[in-house]
Amino acid sequence: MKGVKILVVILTLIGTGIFIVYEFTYNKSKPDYAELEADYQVSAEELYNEFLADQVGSSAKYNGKMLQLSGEITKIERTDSLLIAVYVFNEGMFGDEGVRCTFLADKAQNLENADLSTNDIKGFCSGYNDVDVILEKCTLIKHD
Amino acid sequence: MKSSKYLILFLTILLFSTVLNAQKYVTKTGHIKFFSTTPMENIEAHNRQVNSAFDLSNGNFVFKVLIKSFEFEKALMQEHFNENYMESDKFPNAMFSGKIENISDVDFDKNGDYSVDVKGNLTIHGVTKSVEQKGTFTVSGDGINANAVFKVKVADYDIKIAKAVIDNIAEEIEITVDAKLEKLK
Repeated sequence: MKGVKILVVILTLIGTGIFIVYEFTYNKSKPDYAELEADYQVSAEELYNEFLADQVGSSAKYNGKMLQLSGEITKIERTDSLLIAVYVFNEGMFGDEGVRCTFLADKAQNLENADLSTNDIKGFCSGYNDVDVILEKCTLIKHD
Repeated sequence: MKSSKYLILFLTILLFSTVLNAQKYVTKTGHIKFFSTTPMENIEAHNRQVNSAFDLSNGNFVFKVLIKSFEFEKALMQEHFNENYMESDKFPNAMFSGKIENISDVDFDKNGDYSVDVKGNLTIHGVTKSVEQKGTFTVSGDGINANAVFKVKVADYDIKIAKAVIDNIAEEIEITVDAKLEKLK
């Protein structure tokens, strides 16, 4: 009888362990990008120029980090699934070049009605593709 | 006299660049899907920020994609994809650079679907391989829709899969490309 109790306890512990591993590793949720603190605050133009001057160094510094960008947005582009704020600083084989910030679907509405003189853009930097610096999962954030 | 020469030179350059641009189609919001299927599980990821350019004058065709922009259903898959397999800090981009070999078969003034033969170099994970694929160009008033579906062998690009998940990831990954190219203004 005691052996059965021990077996039940062991099985329960194993089951709980499997559940925890599943939930917190295999099935763990994605970060809430809107709530993440910015790792760097920089103007969009400085960011672009840093990547142009030193792609390897800038990639190591910024890729995979949350950035808060200041500066004047040049235009807003829309596709079927994306809303993108674009800072243009150059022109090349793909047309305008600069920093492109893709907004989270549920935060995109804010961009269209926002006062951009009092807001920065915060987003996850996925890198420089030899044309533009790309920020994703963007939201608007008030200036300090 | 000297200034009029400069003016002619400037106008020639302007005209030349306008003609060149008129023959170029681009997008920065192309879509690439990555799909792996095994009896254990299906894994797919999407990247909707693909740069692509096509030059009508010579058939040159380019795709560029940031690895970190691929989005997976599960955070852990995305993490493993970037950190363990694609090493996206070390190799942030993948690209294709090549040519449409049968460009003369496509009538860019007539709407419709055209089968195209694409040949060029595909670079993934810092490894470049020569590839030849079939694709489709759909010509419409809005531009060109470029589509292709092809398979890539993981081992060809020196991507090492951990033994623990070897049954979960296919040896060949299916890549679907869908890019709506618009005339460069």
